[in-house]
Amino acid sequence: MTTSTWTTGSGLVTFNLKIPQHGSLAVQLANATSIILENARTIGNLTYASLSTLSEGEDAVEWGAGEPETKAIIRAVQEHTDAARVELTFDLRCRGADGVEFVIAGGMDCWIEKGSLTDPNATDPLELTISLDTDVYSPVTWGQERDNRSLAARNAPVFNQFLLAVRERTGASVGPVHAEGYAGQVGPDGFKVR
Amino acid sequence: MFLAATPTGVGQAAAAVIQLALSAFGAAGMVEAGIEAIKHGGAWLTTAWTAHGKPELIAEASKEFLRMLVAVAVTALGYLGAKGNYKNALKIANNMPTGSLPAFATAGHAPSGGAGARTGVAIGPSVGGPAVVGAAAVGLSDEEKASLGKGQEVDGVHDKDVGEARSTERHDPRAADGRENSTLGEHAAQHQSAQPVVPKHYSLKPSDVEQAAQAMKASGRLQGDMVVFDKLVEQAKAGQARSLGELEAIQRWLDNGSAIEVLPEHQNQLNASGKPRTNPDYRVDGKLREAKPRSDTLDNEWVKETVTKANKQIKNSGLSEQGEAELQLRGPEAEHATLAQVERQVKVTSAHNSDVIFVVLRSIRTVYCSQNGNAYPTARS
Repeated sequence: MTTSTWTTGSGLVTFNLKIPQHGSLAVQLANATSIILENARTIGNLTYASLSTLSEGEDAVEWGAGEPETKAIIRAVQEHTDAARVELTFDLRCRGADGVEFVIAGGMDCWIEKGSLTDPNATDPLELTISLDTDVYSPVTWGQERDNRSLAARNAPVFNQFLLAVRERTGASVGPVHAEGYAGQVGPDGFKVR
Repeated sequence: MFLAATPTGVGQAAAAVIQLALSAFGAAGMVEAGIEAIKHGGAWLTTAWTAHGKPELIAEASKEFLRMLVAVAVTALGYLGAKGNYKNALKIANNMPTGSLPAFATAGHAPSGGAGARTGVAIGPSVGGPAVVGAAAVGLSDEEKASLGKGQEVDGVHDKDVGEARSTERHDPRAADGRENSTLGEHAAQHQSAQPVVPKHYSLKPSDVEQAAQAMKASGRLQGDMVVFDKLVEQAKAGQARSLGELEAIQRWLDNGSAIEVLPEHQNQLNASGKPRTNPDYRVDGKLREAKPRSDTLDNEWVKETVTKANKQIKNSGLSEQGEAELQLRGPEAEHATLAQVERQVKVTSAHNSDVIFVVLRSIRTVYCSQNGNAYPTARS
């Protein structure tokens, strides 16, 4: 649905990060999950989470219907030694030009997964993907009105801070940013708001 | 899942048995079986034919037969949308008594043409249609991983100000490069053939969108939520590359004689299991399909990431179906990607080695890949 100065769409802007692997994969996966959950509170609410494992496949454990309990998710990830992927979906909280909060349902997906699914002993970095299904943080969007500088100025700095905190606390290196159609609007450090 | 192994010799015989097994598992419609099944089937026949009455070889042949059945069953379960736990199933197979299992141990002829079936994932490009890439396939070798390389990339990021970006994005990058462009007349002609012999270059410009959209509607085979379609048209007119790519996909599907339903967008809804409801893009001839265009240079992450997102769109739609993802590489930057690049990334959406099949993305049954609307020429890979 086109909403004024911004729009929604699957994976409009995606950030890829690589987290170097040290020690137990399950512990590291749990740690990265914890960092994301903790820092994402500033930008949204967790609405769905799932854990995929090598033995039980995709979405072996799921949490939905209301805000899932963070500790339960982290505990489950730690307990599954063959954990392969954690998927988190957030509703994004944003501020309008009038200062009133509005919510973009399912606006952000994050998933963290093993770099190699075939080799249990591989030390490939964990792959962290942060995927936005909205362009609300971009100064220029594909909404009906494309000038979104006002909303971007209010909301993008908080998102950029989230991105930076996740990167610093996980020790992740920056990978590709996929943002086709948003040239000059976004980079590895987030959205460019002047 | 869609694996197209091309068995020869022993593999052909094994494939025949596998097809019988698929019928027994209720998945007779799945005409290609997993390579793991072909491998075990081949090993079963090879061991059985060369056993010469030796009990230990007969036992091993029987086990290979059972392993093949397990592999077929897991592949069939994947086809039917079930979760895969191949490892446990294989353990059961390895520990089963083999006295009553068939081994053909009395057959004394060695197989001709070698024992192993081909295990590579075959991409089956045909002129006028996209290549099919197995969504569950063999894992990457270390050499393949090494060849992927690492690096940092940002899609088309240049330091432009807001005004520059607005002005640039209103024009598709290929608008001025003199490429052939589809016209209404061409589309009408294309309807005569489901498999066009001459590859057609699909390359819409924003200025062509209105006319092309009218032709699509006039085809009578584009149905569904026209509000969603009109939004796509408006964004394409404004020069959004992904919208132009989706319209090119619709053109191509219509040219191929397909019936298309544009699916509605559901906002702020939960599906039956309490997850935020997602919106798959289309039904093409009744099958859910996500169209994923890319115009920028392909990197080592986009395909994997995009198939993951497509899987989620279908998984959380509440429709309880498997679907298809179509990766459209369009334009001069994306078309430099090789099929091998795409294939590697699709492979890692499902892990598979001798012990484990981890069905990572079970809502995606087939991944297609096209290059400017046409199948990937194998020579490029």
